[in-house]
Parts: sequence; structure tokens; C-alpha cells
Amino acid sequence: MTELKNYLFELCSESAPSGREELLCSLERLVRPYADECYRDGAGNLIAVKKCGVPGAGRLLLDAHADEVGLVVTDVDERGFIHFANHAGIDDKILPASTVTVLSSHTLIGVVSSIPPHLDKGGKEKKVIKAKDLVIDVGLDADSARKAVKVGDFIALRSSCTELRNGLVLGKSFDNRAGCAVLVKVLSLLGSIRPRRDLYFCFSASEEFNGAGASSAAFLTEPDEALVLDTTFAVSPYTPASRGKKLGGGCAIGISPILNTHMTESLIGAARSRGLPYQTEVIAGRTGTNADNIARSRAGVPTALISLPLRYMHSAGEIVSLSDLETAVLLVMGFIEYRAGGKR
Amino acid sequence: MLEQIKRLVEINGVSGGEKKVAEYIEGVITPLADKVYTDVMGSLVAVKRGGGKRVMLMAHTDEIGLVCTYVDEKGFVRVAAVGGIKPQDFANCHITFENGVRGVFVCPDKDSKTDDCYVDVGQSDREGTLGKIDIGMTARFDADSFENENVIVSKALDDRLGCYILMEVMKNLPETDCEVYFVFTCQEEVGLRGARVAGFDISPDIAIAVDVTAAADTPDCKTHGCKMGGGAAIKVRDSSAVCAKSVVDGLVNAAENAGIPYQRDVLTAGGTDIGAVQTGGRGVLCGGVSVAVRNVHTCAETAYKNDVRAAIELICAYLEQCAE
Repeated sequence: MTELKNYLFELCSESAPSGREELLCSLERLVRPYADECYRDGAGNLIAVKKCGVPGAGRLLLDAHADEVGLVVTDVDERGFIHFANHAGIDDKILPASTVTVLSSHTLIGVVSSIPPHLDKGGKEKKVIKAKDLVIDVGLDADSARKAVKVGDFIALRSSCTELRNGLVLGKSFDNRAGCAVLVKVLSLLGSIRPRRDLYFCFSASEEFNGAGASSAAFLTEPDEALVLDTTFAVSPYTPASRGKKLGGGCAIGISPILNTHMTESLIGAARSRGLPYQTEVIAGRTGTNADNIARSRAGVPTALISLPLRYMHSAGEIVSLSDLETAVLLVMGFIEYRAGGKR
Repeated sequence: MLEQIKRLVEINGVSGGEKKVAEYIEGVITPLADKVYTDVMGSLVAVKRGGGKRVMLMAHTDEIGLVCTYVDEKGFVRVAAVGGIKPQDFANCHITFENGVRGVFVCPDKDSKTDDCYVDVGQSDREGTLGKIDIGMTARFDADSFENENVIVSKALDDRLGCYILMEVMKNLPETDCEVYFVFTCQEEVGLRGARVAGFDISPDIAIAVDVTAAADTPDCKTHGCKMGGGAAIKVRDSSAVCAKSVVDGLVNAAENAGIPYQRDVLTAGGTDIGAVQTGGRGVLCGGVSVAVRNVHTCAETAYKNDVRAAIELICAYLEQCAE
């Protein structure tokens, strides 16, 4: 479990908002030693291939998005303050007083402006301040700020990873570096099984934005089947059990019209035969993950979905359970054996 | 500049009915290209052969407008919006149906939705109106164009201005080994449809949308953004796509090396053709060159002529640089 935690913390030590996934240098460093081929494609995906050595073998695509939510610079004003807009997935109400990383040519640390309580005349019914009325302070005067920061530079939420009690961890961008960490670990363990299919690990781009990464990856790799790893809502004060999954209760196996029933059954079968805890997540419409796009690629790709329960999604204080990540690794390994090979 | 742009904006080309725009452009550019064809969806493609990178430049031929959905017993035409329309912006505007029949678009009050609006074609009953037009016909908004020493004001600069820019780039094409696809896309305003299939078919290495972007420099404007007169707008992201860093940096370098005025463009509401190319197939490096236009999606779209010139020069400089 320590290794999995280290993968996760290393992956979350960098910032890569949608469209700038190449900033996640640690991912390639972790993946490359275990892959037969490793490359970044035109859409910004990092693809790691594990060949089975059988000519004409089928292909299984394993997808976890590598991008994270973020903001974007729209202006630097005459006081040196940075104006910004939401780029992908960030709710205005979490912004005031957040620390952020401004991903300019030289990275800057800043804080989103806030009003001290003494000066806030808003009364009891304080309204959410819109992103367009907030600024980021990086401590620079106008000249230096304008030199250092350009319109269009991306911004990420900032926090360091911390281990809480009971195997829970706290940090930013666990959505979906948690999924990435699981796939890195699976890749590192593949020596123990002999797949009958080529395995394409796709650490995909722009899931939080327009899904361009997974769409392209599915098109280019033409898989026979795909398995998507992402995060889902865990039960928390504002997420009742009817809307969320139990943190630490095992991964959530998705059940949805867009997902392939046989593959979903294989996942459940793999969990049962190995005695792994699991939960099911019934999704009526879109899954809101890369599965939606991959399943519709070309003539259609049978796709299954595993989600890791996560609290406070799209904030700098996301919480996941390392035990869920561990279970996910075993479940994906079981699934690969089930669908793509036998023991070595 | 106005004369050539006038010829483009005067053609009726509401999304789905942009054929005449493409035909006009085809007539002008055919001598300038190695190959010209129209694809299944209706986008016009002109190819300049080369052995280097495959670069796709896109400008859309369609414009926003109306489509007739119903004619009531008194002869008033009920309409639906084609593309993003705020009906108040077009209150009492003259309109022309695709067959040339003219009328007036009426938006009854400040809260009216397009459903509450109607077109009056001067007939007294349903039969009279249906003798002039059919259900399903599109109509465009009419407005005069003018220019002064700084600006051009016209309807449909979105995106006949882009079409004009591509045509000028073709006329002034620098030495380059890039294989350049000039794509005059259809149905952009209704969901980037032409670009999606053209992008798939051409499968370029680099795709660049040439379009208008919102100028955020007017007294009523509370957001930050591009300024009219600020130079060619180099897109970083819009609601539909994040541009590849290599393309953004390439365009910035080309502008700086050639001394072309430019501004970096972050559009928070609105998309362009690259959104469809980026999600439609193999994963294409995307970028955008835009002109900051005031009053976008009205009859008085306003562009700074030097920004248009800068956009033409920038694309030429970029193509030259791509070859190196």
C-alpha cells in the first residue's frame, strides 16, 4: 500500500489542468520502466503499451484521465492582480482564499482574494462571489506580474498530500490521479500474468474539459474492449448514501446502459472470486466519464467502468481511501486475467 | 477591403443553406489551388500540395439566421433560431428568405424568446404567405455595411471575415512545404458539423480555426478579453477546445519574429470549429487565429481593419515558419 500511496502523492505533486497534461512529468517517469512502448499522442494522451507477443492479438484499453480541473488567466491588471475564469470544473464558491499554482513559464504561487470578515458588509446572507469578481494575488507589482504571467496561462488548485487516519488521504487532483496511480501499479505488476491481448494503458487528456483525449485514443488504438477508471462521489455531509458510495467500501462497479453487461459481470465475478469488497453504482444517463466517448468510438467498443469513492470532488481537499485504491488494483488484475489471459 | 467583404456578406448563407457562399468562394479561389472539391456535408476544400506537415485552416461559410416553422392563420411566420440568437438584438430587423422574399422580424418585448417572435411578410392570411415561402425556408438578417478609416461594420462578419482572411492567405501564400487545406466549413453555428467530418476526412497534423472572437472593450463589458485594435487574436482556449501549447507558441513566435501585432485570446463563452476537430478522430494539434469583433451575433459586427490585416500576415508567417 505504501507504494500505491507514493505513486499517488508523486502524481499529485504536479499540476496539469485539461489540455496541459504534458506538465505531469512524473507520470511518464513512473510508467516508462514497465511499458514495452510509451508515447504521447497528438491529443496529449500518454499511452503505455504492454505487448503480449502474439501476432494479431486483440487489444484491451485501460483508461484513466490524467488531467485535472483548473482556471485560466484572462488579464493582469494595473495593480499586478491576476484576473481569471473557470477553465474546467471549478465551482466559484470554493475559490476565495484558495491557494493556487499559476502555471506560467516560471511557476508562481498565489492566493485567490477574499474579504476579511471585519470588512464584509454582506450581512448574514453572504453571496457567492463570482470568479470574474475575484483576483489572484501572486505578490508581484504590475510590471513584474505582466512580465511573468500571460493571458491564457493555466492555474491549478494547490495543496499538498497528507495522510489522515484510517488509511484516508487528503489532497488535490485525486480525481483522477487516484485512477492513474492504480493503473501505474497494475502495469508494474503485469509480470505476474501472461495476457493474451495487448494492453493499452491510456492516461488520457482533457476529460474534465471536452473528452478529446479518450475519444482520440479509442479511435487510434481501436480496442476490442475498454475499462475506464475514474472517481465518484463518496458519502459525505452533503452527499447522502442514496447519491454516494461508501468511502473505504471498495470500488464502485458501474452499471449503465452505455456500459457492457458482460464486462460488468466479469468485474463483479472477479471481485467475488477474489473476495474483494465492491459496490455497484447505477447510472441512468451519461456516466460523465470517458466511458461515454470510448463506448461510442468507431463501430462501438464494449466498455466497463470502475470508480473510486472520493469526497469533496473538484476541490483542493479531496479525500480517497488507500484501501479502495488497493482493491481497485486487485480488481483490475482480476479483470485482466478474466478477459485477457491466464496466470503465468 | 470592404468591397471584397461586402460581396461575401451579401450572399444569403444561413446554416444548412450556405451553398451559394461556397460557390462564390470557389469561383475566386479555384485558380489559386492545386485541387478544389466540396465534401458530402457541403464544406468547400482547396488544397495546396506539399510534402511537409498537413495544416488545415478553417473558416465557416454559414451565418446565424431564422427558419420558418409555422405560418399562422393571419399570415405571420413563426420561426426558430438557427444558431445563437438573442431576439432582442434583431428587433424590427429586415430579413430575406432564401428565395428572396423579404419581411420584418418582430420581437414583442424585452423578455421575448424566439418562440414569441414572428416575421411579417406583408400577407393577410396563411394562404397568402404560403404562396410566397415554404415551411423550412431559412431567412437571414439584412443590414448595410460601411467602413471608416479604422473599422468595418457589417452583418455576418462571423465568419465571412474568416473566409476573406483565408482567401487573402491563398493569394499571398508564402513559400512553404506544408500541405495546406483551406476549408470553408458549413454548419458551424449549429454545432461545428462541417468541421467535424472535414477534420476526420483530411486528418491534418495541425488544425487552425480562423474566426471572430468577442471584443471585451466596450463600456458595458464587465469581462476581460480581447480588444479591438489589439492585433491578431491567438487563441489559447475557448469553450470548445484547448489549443495545443506547440501551436499557441508557434503562432506567438511567428508574430513576434515578423513584428505582427497580436493578443492572446481566452474566450470563456463560445466555441469554434477546432472543438469538433479535436474530439472527432485522431487527435489533432489545434490552434486559432481570430479577429476581435464588437457586437458579435448582431447586424452591426464591428472589426478593426488592421486586426484583419494582422491575422492574414500572421497565418502566412506561421505557414512559412512551419516549413522550416
